[in-house]
Order: sequence, then C-alpha cells, then structure tokens
Amino acid sequence: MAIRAAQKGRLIAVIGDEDTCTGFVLGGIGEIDKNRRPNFLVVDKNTSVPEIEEVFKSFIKRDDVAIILINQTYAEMIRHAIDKHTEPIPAVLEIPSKDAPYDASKDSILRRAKGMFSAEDFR
Amino acid sequence: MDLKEVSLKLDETLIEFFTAVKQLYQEQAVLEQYMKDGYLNLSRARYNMGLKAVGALQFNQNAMTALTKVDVNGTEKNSSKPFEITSSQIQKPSKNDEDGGLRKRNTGTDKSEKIENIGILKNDDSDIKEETVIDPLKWFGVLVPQNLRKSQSSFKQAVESVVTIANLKHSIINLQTEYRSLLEKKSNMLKNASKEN
Repeated sequence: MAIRAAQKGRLIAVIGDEDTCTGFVLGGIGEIDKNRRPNFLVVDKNTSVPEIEEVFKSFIKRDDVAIILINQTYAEMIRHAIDKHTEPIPAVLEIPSKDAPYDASKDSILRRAKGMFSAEDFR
Repeated sequence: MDLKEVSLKLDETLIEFFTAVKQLYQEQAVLEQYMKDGYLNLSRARYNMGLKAVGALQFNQNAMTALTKVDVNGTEKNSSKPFEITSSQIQKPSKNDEDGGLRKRNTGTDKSEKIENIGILKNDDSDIKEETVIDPLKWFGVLVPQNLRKSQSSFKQAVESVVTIANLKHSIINLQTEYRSLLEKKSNMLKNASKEN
C-alpha cells in the first residue's frame, strides 16, 4: 500500500448530478485551481460513462484530493474502476442521490468487508 | 504470543470491526438525512427563485476557492482519524471609514493628497480581494431565500458527516487487515500444534 505523506488542506471532490454538486459546492468544497481544473463533475444526460471514468481517474491521480464523493448511481456505472482503487488516499465514498437512496450492499468497501468471513474460518 | 492470546486479540478485533460497521451505518443514515434536507431546501429555493436560478450555471468559475478542506494526518495503522476537517472563515472585506461615513464635498484638501488617497485605497482593495474568500451563497444573489441558506447549512453538515464516514471506512479496512493477519497466525499455530501432537 503506497502511503503518501501527511498533507494539509486537501480537497473533497464530487462526481454527481446537478443538485448534488450544487449542494456540496454551496457547502464550500468547490475549487477551481490555477490550471482551471474544477474538483467537481456535474453529470447530466449528455455525460458519457467513459467521461465519468476519466474524471474519476484524474481525481485519483491528483495530489490535492483527499476524498472523492460519488453518487451511488454513477458509482455503479464505473464499478470496475472503483473496485480497482484500493489505496487509502484518496478515499472514495458513495453517497445517495436525489433519486436513489444509499444501498449499503452495493458499496465497494462493505462488499469487501463481507468477503472477509468465509465458512472455513468458523470450523 | 500464545494461542489463547491470539484468539482473544482476534475476538477483540472482530468486536471492534462490528462496532465500526454499526457506527458507519448510523453515520450513513445521518448523511442521508442531511442530504435529503439539503435537496428539499434546494428545490424550494429553486421554486422561489426560478427554474434556472439555482444550478451549476451560477457557479463563479473565475474565483472558486474551497472553504472546507481536509487535513490528512498520515494513513498509518495506528492513526484512527487520518482525515480532519478544516474550514477557513469567510472574511468580510473591511471597509474604510471614508467609504462608510458621510461624504463631505469641497473640504478644501489638495488634489494631490486626494490622488494619493485614491492610490492607497486601490491598493487596499486589491489586497482584500486576494485575501477574502467569497461565500458561495453570494453567487446566487444578494437577498437569497431562507431555503437556500438552510440548504447550505445542511450540506455543510453533510460534509462533516462525510469526513467521519471516511475515517470509519479507513478504520474498517485497517481492522480487516489486522483480523486477516491474526487469523493466519492462529491457523499456523494450530497447524504447528497438531504436528507436535
């Protein structure tokens, strides 16, 4: 596990529908850096799945991002990319959206935790 | 460490793990509630202000700075809270006394002095612009509906909840790895014991 050094003042990135992004940006997490890169992606009906995946990967690569929030609906679309990311930082959190409530059984981390117990362990 | 100690440690880790999972579920419910309130108030504000008055188009693309950031305190196993929230205060630009008070006309001061004053004021303004972080609420207008303020406070609380969830998930992953290593240790010990017998 690659451990990055402790850093102060890192960002929270958001991938979500317009209301989720508006809400969190209103909450004060939005930032556009010197290279004009925003830390949020507003997903609408014209946004393609590869585009979401690309932005997600770019957030993972960024050194100034500590937590990535993603609507569970969109997390489902790029599940393979989320499952591939196992490093502790940036932490990927799935959040509910306006249309769909949070379903813990779909969450990557909790699914991984479920696989922790096998029948053989309890023999 | 003998077999009994390992077994006890294993049980402790498992209990800690389930406590963390329980806390995680509770915190997820809290986050969901905050977000639900935020969405509802956002929709109400949209109803009051107009369909396109509250959305991504109102974001200030030129000067957007995060008010809430996260400090990462290392991700070692012993650190239970690697993520810590830090929020910078919104600084209101301090107005000069001359701007706020009554303006006197024809006070008889020299023109050169006036020009100097203007020069100083201009410099001050530029300093203020650099330092201040604008409240995102201002992007949507000066007199915004109460619902938008409520929505903002809900989402601010949601951000705090998100950081708690990130910490819990981190501790769950750590406990998981600890549990696995202990389980492996125990099975090795059991194998050795059976060979000796």
